[in-house]
Amino acid sequence: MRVVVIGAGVIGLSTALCIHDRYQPVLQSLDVRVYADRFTPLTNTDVAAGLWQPYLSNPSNPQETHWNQQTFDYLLSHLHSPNAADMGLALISGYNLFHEAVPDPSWKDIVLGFRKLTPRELDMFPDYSYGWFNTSLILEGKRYLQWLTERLTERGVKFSQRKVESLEEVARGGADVIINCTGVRAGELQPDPMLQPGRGQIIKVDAPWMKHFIVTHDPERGIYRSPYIIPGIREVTLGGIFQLGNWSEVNNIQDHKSIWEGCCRLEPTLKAEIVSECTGFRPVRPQVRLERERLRFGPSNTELIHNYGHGGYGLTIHWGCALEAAKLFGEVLEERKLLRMPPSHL
Amino acid sequence: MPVSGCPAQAPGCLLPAFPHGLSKEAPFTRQPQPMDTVRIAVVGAGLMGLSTAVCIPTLVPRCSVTVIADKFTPDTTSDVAAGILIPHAYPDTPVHKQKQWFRETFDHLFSIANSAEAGDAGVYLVSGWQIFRSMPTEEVPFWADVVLGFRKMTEAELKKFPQHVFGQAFTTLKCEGPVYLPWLEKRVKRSGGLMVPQRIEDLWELHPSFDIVVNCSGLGSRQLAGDSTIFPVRGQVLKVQAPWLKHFIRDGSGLTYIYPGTSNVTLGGTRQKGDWNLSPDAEISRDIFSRCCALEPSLHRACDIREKVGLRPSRPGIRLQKELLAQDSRRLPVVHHYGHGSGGFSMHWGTALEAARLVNECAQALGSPAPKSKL
Repeated sequence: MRVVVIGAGVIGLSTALCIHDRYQPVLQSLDVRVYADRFTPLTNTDVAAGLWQPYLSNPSNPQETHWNQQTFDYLLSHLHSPNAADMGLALISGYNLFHEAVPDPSWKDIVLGFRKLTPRELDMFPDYSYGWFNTSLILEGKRYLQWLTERLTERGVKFSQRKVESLEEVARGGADVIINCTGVRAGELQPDPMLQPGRGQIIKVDAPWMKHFIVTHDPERGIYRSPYIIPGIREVTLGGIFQLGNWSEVNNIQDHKSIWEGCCRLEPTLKAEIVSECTGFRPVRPQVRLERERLRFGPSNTELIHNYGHGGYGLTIHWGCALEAAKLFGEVLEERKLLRMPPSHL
Repeated sequence: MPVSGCPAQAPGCLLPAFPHGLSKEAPFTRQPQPMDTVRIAVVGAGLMGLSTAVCIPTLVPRCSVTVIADKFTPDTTSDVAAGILIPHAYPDTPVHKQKQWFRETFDHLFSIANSAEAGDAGVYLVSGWQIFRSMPTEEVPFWADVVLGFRKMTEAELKKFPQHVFGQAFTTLKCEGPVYLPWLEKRVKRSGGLMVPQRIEDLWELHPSFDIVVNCSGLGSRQLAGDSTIFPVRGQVLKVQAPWLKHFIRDGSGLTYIYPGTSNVTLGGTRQKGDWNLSPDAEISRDIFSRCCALEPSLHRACDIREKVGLRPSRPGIRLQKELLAQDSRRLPVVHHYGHGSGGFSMHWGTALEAARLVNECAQALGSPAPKSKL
């Protein structure tokens, strides 16, 4: 059984790991390879701040709520191990700020210690009048991708740097199953009018006294268009840019100013040293595309499993999606009667 | 640790107004002061000495402040402490006073933490948990409404600590000695104060160069104030690199704690009464590390581990008191401000303000040539 995962961001690597760990014990042979033109630190995952937090509004696909929960629980279970720091994983508490009262989010019982902000806490943020406090998780993209790469390498998964021009090319190369984790550029392999880039720009600073995330919301401007400050393991990410349809990979000076001024206004202690600045593209889609498709090139069938379109919540939802992709993979195996024994229970 | 400054004077020896001896700034010499300036000496340059030295000029008109100590930052006890604002209870100090001082300290540091000065002052917010292996007698301590967002931990949160049955979650402040003390020193100097590295063996050495003495000498008060009720409670800590830790964790007993800082994480600790030993003990370090890893397993990945020891200046109650020393015809008003034990950072601003008020009372009582305050 030859599996090719296209894409080496968080979705590609976690799906590869999930499939390998679940099915390698029960298959006669399982050959998993990862093809990508960009690996860490050049993927969009590397740009993400890494805060576990779904969008405020309920997803159009209720399964996504379940996948978010599965991811949180999975990460939480790893927190207690000495490996947590190696994974880029840590608990972090912080503030979500609003200009007016809003309903509680659907994920309020997933995170820890969710509550409303007290008046004295709101005094710290004079531009805002309402907010939440909760404990969540940071999963730093770059560190996590390195960790996933190490785990995959240990398991004999091969990596190949190449630009895949077509699914057909991979199918004719001998892949039995292709997992399409190409994120924001999935449209290059198969047109998808529902997929768009949600360009983001972030500034990383050295501000080690900051121990809390601060995410502001402005319903008029929309998600990620309001300043946010998210401490990582070592650096703090400042952001607040979301531009639909903008493919420019170049850091923009206006965006820089907007982020810097917005964040300094939000957090006056931020006279910090700028470490780096980068641009990334959230793979925006009305919902995640996580489904099977059968390709027919010549005489053979190649199974295709799509797993892309996670918007700005890829790290938040990744493990639930990996589990679902693995489940779909299991269906393929059953259909082809390849399983020696039933797959281990989820 | 090196003791800088002049050789020790024999007790009882009067220090001349313009003494010999080398020091960073010529001791006790300054520009000639106007006749009615109240000359104040603060003995001790730890947290109490420096914060009192900052408060005094705001309350006492026409004064000069000189801080005299054998140790300055980063060599004081205050530099070892993690500086987290979680009060320690003093059996001999009324609770309403403790709450007042804690609130004054918290509010003062809170406004610094939210200003552009926060980084320079080393003051910032930190959230976390205080956890208990058995139900505490007091589920809601006196300071619960001073810190931010105080509440009981949820069942889900307690899962992180399987050995513990109860916990409190809140947001408080951390005030980092090695950054805060230099910042206080700058403020003292900006308002005309002097720092003099010199070991004082007897408070009378300061007479007649000074009109009022403020005694912030911590454990030094055993000698300087003849106070046998103050004793060291030895604390050993580890300072480690573990930048992924963003929350404090404190066991309700106060013996085991993890306090993330700006440049390192403090792991503690010990409470060894009557132990004066300033050298770190390797066995104790292993024990501290093991206890902290039990609470936070990711600490196994911590590196660059350094050991530090501080002697908490412990006393049944904080001594904030005026005393008029008298010897023959000489009089020396003293304001005592020491004995904060484990709770120095938590109380310092409140008690410094009170000490400054006592200094002002002394200044008013001095009579001519000292002017009556117009307040």
